[in-house]
Amino acid sequence: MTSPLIILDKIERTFNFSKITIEVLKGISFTVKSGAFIAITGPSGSGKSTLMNIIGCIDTPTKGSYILEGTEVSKMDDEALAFIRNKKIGFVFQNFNLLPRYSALANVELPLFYAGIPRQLRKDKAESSLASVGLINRGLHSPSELSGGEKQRVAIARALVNNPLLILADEPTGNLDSKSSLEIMSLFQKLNIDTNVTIIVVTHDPAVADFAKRVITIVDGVIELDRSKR
Amino acid sequence: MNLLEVFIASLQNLKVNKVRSFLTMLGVIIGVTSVILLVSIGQGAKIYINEQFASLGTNLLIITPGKIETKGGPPLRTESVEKLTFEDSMALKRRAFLLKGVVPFVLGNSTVKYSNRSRSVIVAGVNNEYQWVRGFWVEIGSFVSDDDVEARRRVVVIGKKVVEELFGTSNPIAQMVKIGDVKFRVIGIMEKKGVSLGIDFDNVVFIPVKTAQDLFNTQSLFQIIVSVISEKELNNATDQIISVLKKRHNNKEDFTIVSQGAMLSTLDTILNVLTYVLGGIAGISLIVGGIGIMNIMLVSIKERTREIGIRKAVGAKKKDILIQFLIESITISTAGGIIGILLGIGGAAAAHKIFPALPTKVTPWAIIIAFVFSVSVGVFFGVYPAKKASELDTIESLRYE
Repeated sequence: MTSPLIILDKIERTFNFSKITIEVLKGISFTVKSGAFIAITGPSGSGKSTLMNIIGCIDTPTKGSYILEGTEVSKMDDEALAFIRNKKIGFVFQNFNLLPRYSALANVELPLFYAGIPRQLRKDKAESSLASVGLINRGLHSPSELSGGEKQRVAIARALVNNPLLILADEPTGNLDSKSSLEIMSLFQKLNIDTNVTIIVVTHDPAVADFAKRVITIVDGVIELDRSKR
Repeated sequence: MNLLEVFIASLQNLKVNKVRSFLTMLGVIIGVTSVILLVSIGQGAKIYINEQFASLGTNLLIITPGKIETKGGPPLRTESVEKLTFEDSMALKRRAFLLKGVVPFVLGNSTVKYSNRSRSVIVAGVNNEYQWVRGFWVEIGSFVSDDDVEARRRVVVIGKKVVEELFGTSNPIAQMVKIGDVKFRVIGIMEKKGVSLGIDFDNVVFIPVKTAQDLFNTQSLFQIIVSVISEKELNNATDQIISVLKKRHNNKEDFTIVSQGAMLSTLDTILNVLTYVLGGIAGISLIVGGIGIMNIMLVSIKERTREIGIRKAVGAKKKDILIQFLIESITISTAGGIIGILLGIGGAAAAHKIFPALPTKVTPWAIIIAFVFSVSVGVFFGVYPAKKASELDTIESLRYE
């Protein structure tokens, strides 16, 4: 039995504004095994995106412990967190977050650039990553020339390109029509099965959550339901 | 992270907003161009003056009546002044053996008339030694002789321009001209010399010094110009002159001896200060250019907040973002600097072409300083915006619309 990929223990996150303090996460604990496919659901304002940001190392918890691959990351500095984001985590966003002036290929290359990989190797890796999401001949198009579904595939290719342990998708189908949504979720499912990459999807759409093997429901900053299929 | 690739990416970013990038650069371009241009004019003037002095001879001393304080404060004539006389010059010639030539010198303005034409000229009363002391020779005919001086003859040697104006193509030798109301016989024509230190030597007429004293109704001399046997003896010669003249002037040092070197170094200092002041004023516009860069970088960071968030999410460190924006501002200022240097060099050449009297000299140190300064402006005014960009919150930047 290998140790879990992620151990979250009593994660709290509060935001201090000038007059009020908002407790968004009030003690979240769960573990994620490598190769899992998890959906985090909950109503708006439940704290699921904040949880996602903490798991993604772009935010740090106010209290609690977050162990990723056996290492405590909740107290790491910016440089160490940037390294983890670069090498171990791939992000997919609701609004794609592609650089508009860069080609699809250049967008996919971006994490490799910050990983310090030489140019030619970068290009090769980015091309094969684009191929793995079914976009072989779209590399030189700019994001504005791509459909929503294609943009999200580019974003997934970017998330995959550094062979991360974990892919985090925040409402990945939120800006897509139902057909594209289905395609994107099927792609996630396929990647999960083929490459055993761990996937966590934040969504409020039950149809999307249905693709996952485990669904965690958060309400008001606490886990209300944690349900695995079969 | 590869700096070259960051640089190429920054060029692409500047290309996206071509007009904006150019306008931002313009501040630096104008600053650097004016630094180069003004410094090159200052340096040109300095070199020009140096050359002029060198052409006059470096072993000259000029004795003027009256004691002029040359150290501190404006020139001040003190005490009662005993004039320099022709006899003073003769005494120097006899007793100061370190002097090679002694020229008693009288200067005045007058008009020269020939038939119905007249011309305003500078009239110089000299002796024969003037020619080789000043290195300015007669070309046709003969120069004023010592005999002419003693006999107070009314003879004149005229400059090239005076010949052209009054005589055209006809031969002036042995013709009679009127200087003021006095008739003079033309005995020679000077070689062409041109303008030197603001005096047009081709518009000068030379007459015997004693004749000049009569003409201007004076007993004294304007100056005594002496040449020393060698440059090394300038100080000793000065002492000799002082001792000879003091004896004749009731033991008072009521005259001033100026060497070309002293005048040159004074002028050099003035021109250097002028150059620095001009360069400094131009430098201020460079700083204004830098503020322009900072302003645009802040705007650009605001516009690209989302981009910064994305870059951070995929693994850019604070340092990476800092370097990216710093390189962009340095690229703007350096490109502006290079364009400014080229325009400055071109402008200096053009200025000399349009105004030939305005000498310009583009010095390497001015180019180096302007370049280093423009790069530093990019660094200095780029650090704050870049630092701001690197410290943006990742989550908020990703949400930024």
